Amino acid sequence: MLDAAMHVRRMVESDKVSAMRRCRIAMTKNAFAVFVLLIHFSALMSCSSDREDSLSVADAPVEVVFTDVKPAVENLIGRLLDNARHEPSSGSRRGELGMAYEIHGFPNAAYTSYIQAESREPTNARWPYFQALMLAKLGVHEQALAALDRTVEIEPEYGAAWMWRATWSLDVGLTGQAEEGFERARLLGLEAVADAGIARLRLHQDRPEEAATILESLIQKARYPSIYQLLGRAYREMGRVDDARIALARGRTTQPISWSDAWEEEKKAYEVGFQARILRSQRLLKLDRLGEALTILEALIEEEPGNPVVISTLSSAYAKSGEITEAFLTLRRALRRESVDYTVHANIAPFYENRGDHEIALQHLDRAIELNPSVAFPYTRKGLLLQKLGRYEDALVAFENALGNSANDPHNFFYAGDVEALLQRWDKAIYRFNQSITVDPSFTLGHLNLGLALARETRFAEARAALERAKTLGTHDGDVARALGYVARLEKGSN
Amino acid sequence: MRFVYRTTAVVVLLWIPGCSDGTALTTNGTNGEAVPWFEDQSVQRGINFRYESGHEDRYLLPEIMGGGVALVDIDNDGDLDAYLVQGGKLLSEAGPGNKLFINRGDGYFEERIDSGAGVDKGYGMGVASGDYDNDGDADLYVTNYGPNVLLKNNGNGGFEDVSEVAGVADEGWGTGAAFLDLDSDGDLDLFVVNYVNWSIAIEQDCFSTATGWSLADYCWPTAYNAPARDRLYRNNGDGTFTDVSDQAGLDVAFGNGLGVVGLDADSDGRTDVFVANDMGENQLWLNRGDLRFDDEALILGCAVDEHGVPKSGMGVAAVDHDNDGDTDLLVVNLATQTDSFFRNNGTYFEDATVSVGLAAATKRYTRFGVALVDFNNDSRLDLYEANGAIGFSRETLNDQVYAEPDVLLRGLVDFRFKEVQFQGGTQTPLVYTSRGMAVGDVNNDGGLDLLIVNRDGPANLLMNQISHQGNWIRFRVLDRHNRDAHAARVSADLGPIRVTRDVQPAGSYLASNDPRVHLGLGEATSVNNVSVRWTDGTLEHFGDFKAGKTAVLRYSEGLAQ
Repeated sequence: MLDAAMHVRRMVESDKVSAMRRCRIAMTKNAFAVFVLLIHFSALMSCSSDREDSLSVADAPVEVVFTDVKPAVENLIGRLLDNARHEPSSGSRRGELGMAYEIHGFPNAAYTSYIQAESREPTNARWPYFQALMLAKLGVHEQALAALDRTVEIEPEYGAAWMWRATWSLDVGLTGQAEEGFERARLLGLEAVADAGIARLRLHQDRPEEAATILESLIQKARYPSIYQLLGRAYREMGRVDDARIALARGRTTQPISWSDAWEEEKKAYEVGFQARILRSQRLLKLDRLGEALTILEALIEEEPGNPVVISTLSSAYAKSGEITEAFLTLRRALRRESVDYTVHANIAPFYENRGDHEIALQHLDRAIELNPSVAFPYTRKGLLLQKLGRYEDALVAFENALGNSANDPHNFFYAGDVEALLQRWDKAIYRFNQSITVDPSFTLGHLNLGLALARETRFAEARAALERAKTLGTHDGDVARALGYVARLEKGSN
Repeated sequence: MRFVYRTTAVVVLLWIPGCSDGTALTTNGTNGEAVPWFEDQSVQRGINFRYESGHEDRYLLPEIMGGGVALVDIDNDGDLDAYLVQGGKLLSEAGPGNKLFINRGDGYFEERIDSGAGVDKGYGMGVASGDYDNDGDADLYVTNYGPNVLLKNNGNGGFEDVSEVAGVADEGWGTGAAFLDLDSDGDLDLFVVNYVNWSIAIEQDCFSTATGWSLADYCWPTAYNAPARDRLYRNNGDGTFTDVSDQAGLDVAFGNGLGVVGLDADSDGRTDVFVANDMGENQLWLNRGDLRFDDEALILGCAVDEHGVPKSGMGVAAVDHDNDGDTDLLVVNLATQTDSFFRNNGTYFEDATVSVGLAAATKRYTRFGVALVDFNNDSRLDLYEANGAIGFSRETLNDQVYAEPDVLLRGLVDFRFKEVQFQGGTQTPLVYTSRGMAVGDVNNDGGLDLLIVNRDGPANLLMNQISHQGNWIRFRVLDRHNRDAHAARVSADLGPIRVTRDVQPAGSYLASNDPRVHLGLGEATSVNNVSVRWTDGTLEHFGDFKAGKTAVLRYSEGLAQ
């Protein structure tokens, strides 16, 4: 390893002499020694004043040699490389190239490009910022923080940089620096996430009561799962276990707390790969930017008309835009293909159901299940339709099949309980409603219906307790009042 | 022609200096920093095994997840034998079969071909060991994609497939498994973890996220939206089991289960079960008695990380790391995610990953096999992680596109970890697509060795080279049936510190480990006040023991409290 590094050092030194020579990164382990040295230099930068000289070690734009890449990716990178070669002193051109490399899985080339960009455009805070984010992904927080220091030195008003600085500082135990970062982010307009950061800091400082105060106020304005999750931790540390359970259940999420980051958003313009564009369209759908989503999806369906994700997403986008007929036709066209994914059948069924063609809807759901018996949602849809048709026993079978495939959603337990209640099998209904609130203690429908089922079993005290829990969890007062009235009437009738 | 970078990520990370004090990860430290801790002696010691994933053109998810390994004394001669689980061609009816290697007594192995241990031709994943029928010899339970197999040790060097008779041939995609006496009735029940409700019919075309989704690769488990349910089989005491999963309460939480370990998380005397899930919340099934369990991972703080996000849990280790009398948990995760070190504070778990120094050191690679044990016998737990990617990047390390080097960190006085100089503890880094890993002393020299299974690569038998740097003692803990007392808790005074370790063959990834309890003693020459809390709640005292040997602690031979 040492020999490789020394060899590359000599190689790079010779590149300095011939500044315009193309820097071709060969497919050898020396390539990464280059990357190592450049990281080494960039780390040294934060410790020494010889930064300028260090950054100029490789003048030519970083070029990767690749094959087996989608034409759109190759064309994009080729175009950006040409731009960088034609404007060799432009930091922006190096930075654009870096962003494209980063998006398409060339992290070392990306990192090097960002360093080159920074050397050419030292007043653009993006370049050290992107370096910081890449270093943080590797877990090298000290170097990431050093790069962030350069970022905020150039651009002290970029809130996202302060949030990262605070977050990573907290991750490595620099609580003072973390507090400073959160405060700065707060002043720059990121109040909600900064307050959440301060709360997390207070938890680190064993001050859960202060954390809870901050979060209880925050939750009134921003009901994000991450906020509930932090609140649950605070309650737990305060010994409020029941409150903690509910908050943690509401705090279930798959993503950490996030904040707007315009500079990171710029990278998305370089997402030209097929899958990347699908994901981009789904993000846009979630943000209700329907026109942009449809533009991407209509192009994608032309490229791969049989792709089930594109079909489903496009249909969803049309439906969300109010173009119901087009949403339906997208799925129906897909049905004519030789190979049909189960999602097409599962997603077209509701259209037939809404038209009153229940048997056709059921046929499609059965076909979805036949194609993929491992997924819960076609069973759930089938169960709901059968319940609507009054075929309760059949509905129950469908819900139990759904539960056999995924127990993590309280709704399937609730649906099964609901059918048992319709069949007046109260003990089984109680069992299923109890399961629903075991999975999710914050599931208000579960508590409400559990209360009603308990009342039918003359377990009136338990019924009232369940309804009180439903009320505490935010069930509409009117619903709870009606349920309590019902319980009271049953109790009176039983005496 | 696929794009490939030949690189040495090792170089990348070993050459990143810290600015604060100029010391890098490559700084020489004391006691073991200047010498390799392990040497791969698989070839010379007769472990000749290569896990065949069977990958051809399509990317079929099971191909990237196996295989497992057990270090267990099969023939009851006092040394550890090795059982390695094989894959094969996923779509064919029978694979090459698993392999059993018998230890000659000196840490050298011979393959035993006619034992019946290779009768299982399924697409193998992991293995658990335990004497389920209390007849004095260790049996094996092999998890497969497809029906699992229970191999009963007949005591004469042979195995018999009794899966159907026993009623444990679960047909899901089995991964981790553990034999544990969960109802304290004296026999070992069986907890089986399942991964995804996968079949070839639902396989999808997925793309590598590291390449901007432009190259085909294995799917994430969440792509199928089909987490699998785990199974609890109650041992009926007559050679058969009953599936009590629903009655136990396991039907309210599914996950993409991989790692499993038994522990008494809440110190109530009952054995609980922790399951590490991939891209989903971990589960901590608290034992309420009568084989009823509640998943309390979320409220107890070991379901998700410090940011509230589920990670991609693979292997798991459970041990009292900080010597405070309760069991801590370590879950190893996907690259770009840190490990999850959940410190048990007696009431709940706190994510202490950063404070023990495991953040930066562990994010680089995807970790599977894990061992949190004292390799250098300095009385502090060290950490070995066997790594291998599940998705490729354009910048790979060798021709094996998922291969990654392993990581070894030594335990420090303040319970933090620091990476050793030699990457992965060997003279040159071992770069494979590592999966299952078992830890145990195969040559009974007082040093814990490692046996690692690598996808489409040779297995590594890493022999400990530095155990002589400290004293040690080991306990074989046997219950009333003369079998290893799974989940029994051994405690001993080591100077002013009370050290606690469980008898715990399960753990790591798809593996079964040496059931003997190993304690590194540093310069101490004895341990005092040794006690065992048996799984029936009995506490017995066994007195003091001198270092340098394996002592047997047998049920009812101590002084009962």
